Order: sequence, then structure tokens, then C-alpha cells
Amino acid sequence: MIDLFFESLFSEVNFSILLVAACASMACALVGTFLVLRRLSLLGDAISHGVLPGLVIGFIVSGSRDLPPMLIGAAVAALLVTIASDWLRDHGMIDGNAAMGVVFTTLFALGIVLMESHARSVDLDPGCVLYGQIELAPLDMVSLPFLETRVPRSLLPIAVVLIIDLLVVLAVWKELKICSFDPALARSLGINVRLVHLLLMLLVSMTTVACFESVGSVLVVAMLVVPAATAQLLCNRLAPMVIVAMAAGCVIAVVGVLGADHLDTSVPGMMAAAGGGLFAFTVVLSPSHGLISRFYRRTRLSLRIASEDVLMEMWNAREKDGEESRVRGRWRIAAIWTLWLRGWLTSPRRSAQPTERGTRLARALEKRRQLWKRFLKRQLLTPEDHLYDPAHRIEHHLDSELSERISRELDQEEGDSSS
Amino acid sequence: MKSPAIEVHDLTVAYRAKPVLWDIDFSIPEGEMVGIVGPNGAGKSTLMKAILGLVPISSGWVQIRGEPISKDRSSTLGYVPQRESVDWDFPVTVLDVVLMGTYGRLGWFRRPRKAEREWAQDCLEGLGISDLASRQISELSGGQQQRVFLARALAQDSEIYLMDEPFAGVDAATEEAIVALLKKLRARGRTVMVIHHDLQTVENYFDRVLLINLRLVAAGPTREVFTRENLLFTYGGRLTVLDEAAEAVRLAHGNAGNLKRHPDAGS
Amino acid sequence: MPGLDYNTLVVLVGTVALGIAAGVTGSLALLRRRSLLADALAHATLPGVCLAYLWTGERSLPVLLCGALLSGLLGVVIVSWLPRVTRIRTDAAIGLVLGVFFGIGIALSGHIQRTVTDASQAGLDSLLLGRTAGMLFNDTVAIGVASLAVIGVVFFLRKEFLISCFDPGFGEVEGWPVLALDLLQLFLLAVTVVLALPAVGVVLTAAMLVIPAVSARLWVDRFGILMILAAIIGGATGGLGTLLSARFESLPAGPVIVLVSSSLFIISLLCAPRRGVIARALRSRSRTLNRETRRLLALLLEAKSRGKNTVPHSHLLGRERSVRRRSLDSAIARGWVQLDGDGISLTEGGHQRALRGRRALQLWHAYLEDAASIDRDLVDLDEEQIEKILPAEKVLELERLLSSRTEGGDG
Repeated sequence: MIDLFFESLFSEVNFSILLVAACASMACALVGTFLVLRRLSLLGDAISHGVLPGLVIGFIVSGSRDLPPMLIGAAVAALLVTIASDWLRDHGMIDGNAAMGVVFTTLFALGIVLMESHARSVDLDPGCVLYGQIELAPLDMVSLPFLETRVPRSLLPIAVVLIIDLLVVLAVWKELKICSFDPALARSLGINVRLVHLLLMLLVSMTTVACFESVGSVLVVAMLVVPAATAQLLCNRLAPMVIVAMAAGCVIAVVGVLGADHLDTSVPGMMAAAGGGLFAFTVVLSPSHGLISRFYRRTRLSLRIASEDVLMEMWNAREKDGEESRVRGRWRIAAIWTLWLRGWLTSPRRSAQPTERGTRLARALEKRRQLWKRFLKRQLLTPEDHLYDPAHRIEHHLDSELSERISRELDQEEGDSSS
Repeated sequence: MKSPAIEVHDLTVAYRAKPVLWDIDFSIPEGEMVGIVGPNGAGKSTLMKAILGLVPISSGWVQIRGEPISKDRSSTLGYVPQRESVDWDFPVTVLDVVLMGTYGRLGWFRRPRKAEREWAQDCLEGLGISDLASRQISELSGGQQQRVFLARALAQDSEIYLMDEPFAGVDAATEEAIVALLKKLRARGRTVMVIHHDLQTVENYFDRVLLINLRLVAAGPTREVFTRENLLFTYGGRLTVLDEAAEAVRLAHGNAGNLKRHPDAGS
Repeated sequence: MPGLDYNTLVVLVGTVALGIAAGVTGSLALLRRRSLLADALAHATLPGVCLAYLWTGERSLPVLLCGALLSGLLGVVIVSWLPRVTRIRTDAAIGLVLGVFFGIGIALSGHIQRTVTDASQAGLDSLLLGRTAGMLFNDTVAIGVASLAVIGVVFFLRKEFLISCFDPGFGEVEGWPVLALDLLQLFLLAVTVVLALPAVGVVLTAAMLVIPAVSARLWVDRFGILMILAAIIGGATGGLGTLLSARFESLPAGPVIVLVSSSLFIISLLCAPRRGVIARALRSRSRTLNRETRRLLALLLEAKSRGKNTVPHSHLLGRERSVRRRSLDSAIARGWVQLDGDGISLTEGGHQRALRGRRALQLWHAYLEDAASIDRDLVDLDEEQIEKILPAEKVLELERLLSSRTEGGDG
């Protein structure tokens, strides 16, 4: 049953499309991670649009749809985009973003004009540059010398580029890492930052060019940024980030291809949409940086503070009455229930008493509060009437280590002044 | 009784749950020159921005001449931001920048006219840079940029001036010009509050100092407050505990966007 | 005018109006460093267009453009929201919105293409690359009115926009609603983008906004004049591009407009008087020349004080002496130096000049030592600038200082 389901999902047609899509998005995700970390995300946008005239010229010169001349033309155009926008920013007194905007739109316009004016000899249309022709992948299969199965012809450049990307990134991993993190430090360590930058640009150009014949320039933009941004929300270190980004690329490819098949629409468009969905999902649900986890942590913290406050009030109430409660309304009810569930109160009622454990906790909290008050008073000469509030807030965050340090410092101080 | 120029009561400012100022409490009488002194990251700029209403206040309040800060504070408050806060390659001339000081009085849609231009020119004169009026601002040196900002504040003609490090990175001549201007403002009964870094000159420049390091360490007339002991408290390492406590609060509240810079780090 | 038929005229008016509006809002975007946000905005309009089409089922331009405006604004909101609540930075947020929105748009339009078999579907496609020639009289009127409205808003609020762009913090203290002004500015940008969509298409809209503004910025240094010049450049290139594409029928107008304005940009980049590449290269060359000439005079003066009136070429020219041939030529041309056979000597004028330079330099060094801290931007000055900067009484004081010091040194 399940086998059958998968079989229908990944028919041979779908499988070759999926293979191309997955390789393309993994290659983009790999180099995209470094672009995002170096705040160069928009370079992908610029390059993928700017390669158009290179493609067209390659086509016109060679007079055929053979890949190599078009790829060479496109790679030259891609490097031109990076070098020209860097030059305009550094030597033309033009804002970096605007410089990129000028360069790539100009090149794109040039490409379209070339395409239209050679319409009779050029069998290209702007649409295929924007969305690519991944749907045609299964129609043009080749067999590889050492493999049994036949693979789509358009997979070859993508696979080659993916392998090159992987090898280069592994080879210069250390340098890429330090240049992404702190270019100034890298320079002081004697690393040729400019060379590393150019190398990265070369990888990005190659990847863009190889991929967009299949998936189009739009998807290249999305795939350079989306998996990396998703990974950024999930990881704090570079190596996991690269791996997660590539995995996200795979997931996006699968969902995109299946979705496009299901809804009968364009594969690259669907992949970009899937990427958007995955990213939105991560923004909401990421365990460390997601909106929900942050909301949960904040609520839990507020609840803890509220219940500790209530506990201390109840404990203090034995000694003195009449002080107004700091925790009111729903928070108070929630706090009382929490305390009861944890076994720190005898019952979930307003009139409840702290249990044995609750009393112990309240004493510990009171000790911290006094410690902090003493610290503020001695160290900062804070007037007495200002003391209650900050002490009240900070005591919930003093862990035992910090409390010990404060108490040590205070003791030392008092020892100094008495001697 | 006359209300003080600036009164700050129990002010706490938190940036993303990390408190950067705790329970600041002071008041400043009118017509005084006040220096705010403290180490880097002590929250001096944040305090100034809180008084101006540019950053949200977690608790406490600020009153300007006995009234809470309102949206329309142009006639009472003059502000000199840090020099690095703007793009000095922006396409405006020196006179344009100084004229911005009159925009608040002009209100919506009205354009600066001859009277405003002459007034702006006078303000430039007051800082000794009237010959620079038609210069593009990218052609200015650092000291000249600072003078332009001060001329703009002068053009605001406010009762109270708040200046964020006007002496940072300026040459001796500019420093003299600024001090002369400040004295002139005080002679006219204006209140001036200045964030200051150079401890050597504090006693010469200011009537009153606020020593700040996350908390208000001391506030009062310079002679009484600017003492070795207070400075040790302000700059001493003991406050690391306070900083760590603030960090603990921040971590507990989750640290999304932790790559964003601290507002006090200057931008 | 020959060959200018009614249709071309309609298109011409439309593109000129569009170019003017784009120049104005593009300058504002450039000054707030939002050039590529305009690009993201343009790409983010596509899903709105498709959804509007799917929802209403008809190809009416106003409806489609309303959809475009809404989804473009949604995109901008996400771009500004993401960096605030997550660790995603602005550039990644722009790329993300651009790619994802456009992808969704493409998926939707693919879906429309395959499900709705309707000839009018071509309308969606033309938004991708634009179809200037398809502009009708009504479209032109709409573009004209909207452009006028955009220009009017910017005209009346130019003072307010200036302060919110240049120094938002100061503006807020002054009581201006800086955030609202910023949102208004984004809204105007979105309106311009949406107007430009049918004419030049999604990808090239950014060009209409960015290139005229960047070119104008190279020529002028004033806020108001920048916007006027950008509007003129935008309008002129729009018109010129339209005429060119009408002349050569195979060329689509959108890309031609962009190429015309890029050519103007390249000219500006090279020839602009102060920021142009050529002007800056010349300035830096003449600065070097001046410095070298000063050095040459100083060397000759030093030799003269040692009793050598004529110094051979080889002692002065060359890398280690940091004097090049052309500096020598310039000194000869100004009559400060003369050639004596194989050697070089100072003329009388050159001698005076060299003395003056030496004195100014000494004064300057004395001043630097005297004043505790000095404006760092004023270090590389020639004698005339130094004499201008130092006040007369200071010079007298410094001269006293100098003479006492040399006496002290001698004695």
C-alpha cells in the first residue's frame, strides 16, 4: 500500500524532475549560506538577472542551444555583475544596493533587447530565463558511462557544480568561516580576504548559471536565501547551519515538485512557495528562535516570577498584614494554581498556606532579596526608599553562583571597612 | 515654586528585556550646565533618548518643566545627536541642515523664508562658520560637522538643550567654540545637558554632573559630586555584578534578535 | 513631427509621466538606501495580480493593479518586520520576500495558464516584462493623474521628507511623525512601482526608480534639485526610449528605456563635475602633482642652502626622491625652475615660492605642536591653505615661538 503510494508519487517523470530540483536547491543552499552570513543575499538576485546577456551572446555566437558556450557567456556576465557593482560602490561614490540595482537591471535590459532583436535566430524567450525548463528534464535523458540508469541531461551541469561547490567549501572551510565572521580578523591573520570573496563570487556565479537553465532566475534567488535564512533560525554554528540549509533545500524540492504535480503548475514557482511556507513554519516554530517558543519562554518566566511573588507574599503574610499584593487578576489565579500543582501550597485557594517545601523556597528567595538590597545599598549608595523595586525584580534571576559572588564581595567590603 | 527644567523619576529603560538603565532619579534646575559622565555602555545616550522620548520607558516618568513629554516638544527641547548618526554624504548644504532647526516652528507645509535664512545664518555666525553656509556637507571636516549640528540646535532656539558627545573627536579650536557657545546659552538662562567623556575638563565646564553607570551613581553640583570616590564607583569594576544581573534578565527573557546592536552602542 | 502617430503619442505621454514620478520617488528611495527594496516590491506584486485575476475572473487593469499594490505592500511590511522579530537581516529579508513572492506569483500564473483557457490571460504575462506599446489612452490618463498626485505629495511635503530622511531622530524630537512620513514614502514608492509594472514589467521597474536617481546624484548636491533632475532624467529617458522603440519596431520599449537611462548613467559616472570618475581622477592627479612640485622646490632650496645652485637631474628624479618627470615639467611651466644643461636650478620666483612653502610648513608644525589636538581632516594642506587657516595673531605668536626656538637651538 505504502509502496504503491510512493510509486505513484515518484513516477519516473517526477523522479528525474525531483533529482534536478533537489541538486539545484542543495547547490544554491550551500553557497547561499555564506551569502546570507556575509549580508550579500541580494547579490544572488543581481547575478541571476544579470547573466541574461551572457547567455544570449553565447547563443548568438555559437548559433546553437549547446550548453557550454551559453554557460561561458553567462559566467562572464555573472562575474561582470559582481565586479562592476563592487567597483561602483568603492570608486563611484554610489550606495552598494543602488550600484547592484543599476548593474543588473541594465544587463537584463540589454539581454532582452538582444534577444528580441535576434528573435529570428535566437530560439529563447524571456519566460524560460525567469522560470526555467525543469518540466522538460525527463524528455531529454542521457545515459552515463558508469551508471545503469539514465539521467536528465540538465542534471549534469548542476551535479558537477554541486560537487565543485562541496569540494571548494570543504577545502577552504576555515577561511570562509573566518571571512564570514570577521573579515578584519581574517586580514590580520594573513588571509587574503579579497581572494576568498572572489572565490565565493565565482562559486555563486557558477551555481546560478548552472541552475537557472533548469529552475530559472526566480528560483535561484529564492533558493540562495530561503534555506540559509531558515537554517539561521535553527542553528547557532556554521557547520550545522550549512547542513540544515542543504536539508531544507531538499525538503523544499520534494514539496515543490509534488505540489506542482498536484496543482498542475510550474515547479520552480511551487518550490519558491514551498520555501516560503517552510520559512514561515520555522519563524513560528523554531525551538530556539521561533515566535511560539519565545512566547512560551516569556510566559513561563512571567508565571514563575508571579508565583514566586505570590509565594513570598503568602509566607510574609504570617508576619505582617496589610501590604497590597503585587500580583493581581488572572496572573494571581494562575500563580496560585501553579504553586499548588508544584506542591508548594496546601490548596489552590487565596487563603492557602505554604507547604514545608514552599516555606523553604520562600526563605531562599527572601535571602536573595536581602542580599541584593544589601549589595545595592552598599555598592551604589542607593537611597533606602528606592530599594524595594529593583530588588524585587532582580531576585528571580540571581542564580546561586551570582548570589555567592555578591555575598563574597559584600563580605570582603565589610571586612575592609572594619579593619 | 518654579518647576525644574528636567525631572526624571525612577526611570527604568530596558532594551529587549535587558535593563540598560535602572531607577534613575534626579532633577535639574533651569539655567544650569550639566555634564553626564560615565564609562562606555553605561546608558548615557539611552538616558538622553529617554528624556527626549525617543526610546520607550519601562517604568518611571520624565517631566520637562513640570509637564510630561508631549509630541510637540520642538520649542522646549533642542537635540544634538552624535555626529555619526547621520549620512554626511547626504545631498544638502550646511545652511539646509541649520534650517532644519526652524522646521519645528514652521509647522506643516510652510517653507523657510528669508527671515529663517537670516536666522540660520546668524546661528552659523555664532559658531564662527558663516563662510561655510553654501558648502555641501560632505566637504566638511569633523570639527566643522559638529559645529553645524550645534548651529542647528541653536536655530531651534529651545529652552533646554541635550547634546550627545559634542566634544567627541573635535579639534581644540572647535572645542573652544563649543564651550563659548555653551556659556552663552547658560548666560541666556538656557539649560544644557551634555554627555561628556573627558574627565579632565568636567570641573571647568559644568555646574552640575550626573555620574552614571547603569544606575545613577551620584548627581549634584560638580564640586560636591565630582569626587574621587564617586568616580571610582562609576568607573570601578564592581559594577560587573550589576551588568551580569542585567544579562541574566535578558537571557531569561529569550534573546531573539541578539545579533542586533544595542541602542547605546551608537549608530 | 514625422512618424508620430496617435498611439505613439499616447504611449509617449504615459512613459514620460511615469519616468518623472519614478525619478522623484526613486530619489527618496536612494537617499534612504532602499534601492533594492523597490526591486523586491516590484517582484512582490505578482501574486496580488494573479489572485486579483483569479478572484474577479477578468482582466481589468485597475483591479489587477489594486491586487499588485496590496501584495507589494504586504511584501514591504514583511521586509521591515522580519529583522525586528527574528535574527534575519534586512538584505536576507529582501531576498526572501522577492524570491518567495515572485515564486508564488509564478506558481499562480502557471495554474491560471493551465486551468483558464482564455486569450485575455496574456494580460498577466505582459506584467512580467511589460508591454509599453499596449498602453491605451485611459491607461495614460490614469498614469498621468497618479504621477501628478505622487509628485504633488512630495512637493508639498519636501521639507518633512528631507528631515525624516536625513536625521529621523532629530525630526522626532522636533515633533514630526517620522514613522508616518516613512510609511507614506513607502506607499508612494509602491504606487510608482505598480504604475510602472504594465509598462516596463516586474524586473525592470527597479531600473526606472534607481537609475535616474543615481545618475542625478552624481551631478547635484542639493535635495530638491536632486529630485527635479532625477524627474527630468526619468521623463527624458522614458520619452527617448519610447521614441526609439517606436522607430525600431522589433525593440520592446521597457528595456530600451532602461538602456537609454543606463547610457546616461555611464555618461554621468564619467563626466559629472565633482563626483564623476574623470573629474576625481584629474583632481587626485593634480593633488599629487602639487605635492611633488612642493617637494621638488624644497629639495632644490635645501641644495641651494648647501651652496649647490644647480642640481643634476639624476639626483632629483626617480622613485626614491618621489619626484616624477611631469612634476618637473609643471614646475618649469610655472616658471619656478629652470634647466641648466644637465641640471635644474630654482628661478628667483621659485626661490621665493620655496621659502614661503618652508615657512608655512614650519608654522604649521609649530601649530600642531602647540595645539593639543587638531582637526584630523586638515592635515594635507599646501602653503596657501595653511596661511588662510591660521589666524594672523596666531601666526605672529608662532613666529615668535619659532624664532625663540631656533635661537635656543643655536645657543
